[in-house]
Amino acid sequence: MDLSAFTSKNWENAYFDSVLPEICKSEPCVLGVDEAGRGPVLGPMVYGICYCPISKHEDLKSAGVADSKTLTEEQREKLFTKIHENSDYIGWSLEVISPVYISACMYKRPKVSLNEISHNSAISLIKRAIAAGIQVSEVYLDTVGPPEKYEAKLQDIFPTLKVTVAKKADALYPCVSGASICAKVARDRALSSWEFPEGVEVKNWGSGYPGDPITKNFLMNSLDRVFGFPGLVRFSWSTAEKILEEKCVPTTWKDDEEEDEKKNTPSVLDYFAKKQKSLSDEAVKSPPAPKRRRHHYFTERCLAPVTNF
Amino acid sequence: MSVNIDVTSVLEKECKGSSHVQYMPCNIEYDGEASLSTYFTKYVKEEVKDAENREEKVLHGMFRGYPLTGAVMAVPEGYTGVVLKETRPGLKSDEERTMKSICKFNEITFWNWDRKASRGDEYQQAMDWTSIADVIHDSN
Repeated sequence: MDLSAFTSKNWENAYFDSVLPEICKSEPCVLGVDEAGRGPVLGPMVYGICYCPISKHEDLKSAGVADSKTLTEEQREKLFTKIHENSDYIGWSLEVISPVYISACMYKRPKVSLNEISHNSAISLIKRAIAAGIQVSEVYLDTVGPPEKYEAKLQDIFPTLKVTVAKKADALYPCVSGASICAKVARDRALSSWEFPEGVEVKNWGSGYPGDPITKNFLMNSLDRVFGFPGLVRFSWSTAEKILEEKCVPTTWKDDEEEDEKKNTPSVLDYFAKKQKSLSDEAVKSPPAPKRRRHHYFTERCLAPVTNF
Repeated sequence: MSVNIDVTSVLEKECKGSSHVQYMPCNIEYDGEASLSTYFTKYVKEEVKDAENREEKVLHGMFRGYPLTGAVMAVPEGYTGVVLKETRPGLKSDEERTMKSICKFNEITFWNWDRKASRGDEYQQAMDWTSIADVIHDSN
């Protein structure tokens, strides 16, 4: 698996494909979809598909392609080699989704959620598989969000395929397990060969999960006061946001300002006349002279005379 | 208090390129050095679009995870951009201040948060004022 196309530009997404087994073009196939690296605050999220002829689905199981969550990195690499050795009937494809892309999506207006990113990736991988000539017949996926909704959405996009979305699909269907293994191996390799465009020299950031103290330490130490974290970090994760708020120079984005303005909206009661107090209580004061305000032509364009910096 | 601005030193110099001054769509409460080339410029990508018989160069960038869309813009005609630096911050608030120009520019990179740069942006509309001011205050 050569990921150099991603490594050289790790702020952009990249697709990778195995060699297409000829048998998958002529026989109906099962196709499993799974991901790796959804939860961590560091690194890419990888979406993978693994496919083989329906007639050979059980062979995947006998090859040992099973629940990848219980495997160590070493065991996963061994299984990936096995998949590679059986490339006459097993194929895979991956999309490596960069952390910069994930942050950018979640900070878009309107926001594109992580679930949406996941759905879009799965859909694009299935479409690419079909376009490549694979006789996709049955698709199996682990659920992202409510399973019935996801299944219905996919079934709608792919009416001729049999779509099954299930919890723990990687334990139920060998092709999903295969996808999971490929995705995890890809993520492991993408991280171990990560080259910081910022020139940061760190090789140990722990598991990449927000709860890991080594990861937290990396986050604290890799900060630049102005720019925040290097592109390895998912800025939109609340762990990252909190550290940025504490340690970096404050910045305000327009939407934040609009929210503050809402808080300053006067109460409707201010528009009603105050109760008349009897003249003996207070001396009557004349209303204050109206303030001279700049013409809205200038305020709209943020123009104001400057006499000091 | 008065502010003295000295621009004489840069007028003879070459203009800095468009990547020297970046107009950001956020308020950054900071005055000081920023490692643009380390953290920012590397993530800037240029996209050439075909729009109405002319080529449009749209820039894509990232700041603190936020997606930025930008374009190179010239400073209004007849004007020169100058970067000022305070030579010696005064201790008392009523002291005279001196700003010295450290470089000049005639192009900036303008960035919007996730929206293409357009004539409707405040900055572009603000720059229109220079030509209107000319007409209004023209002593001819």
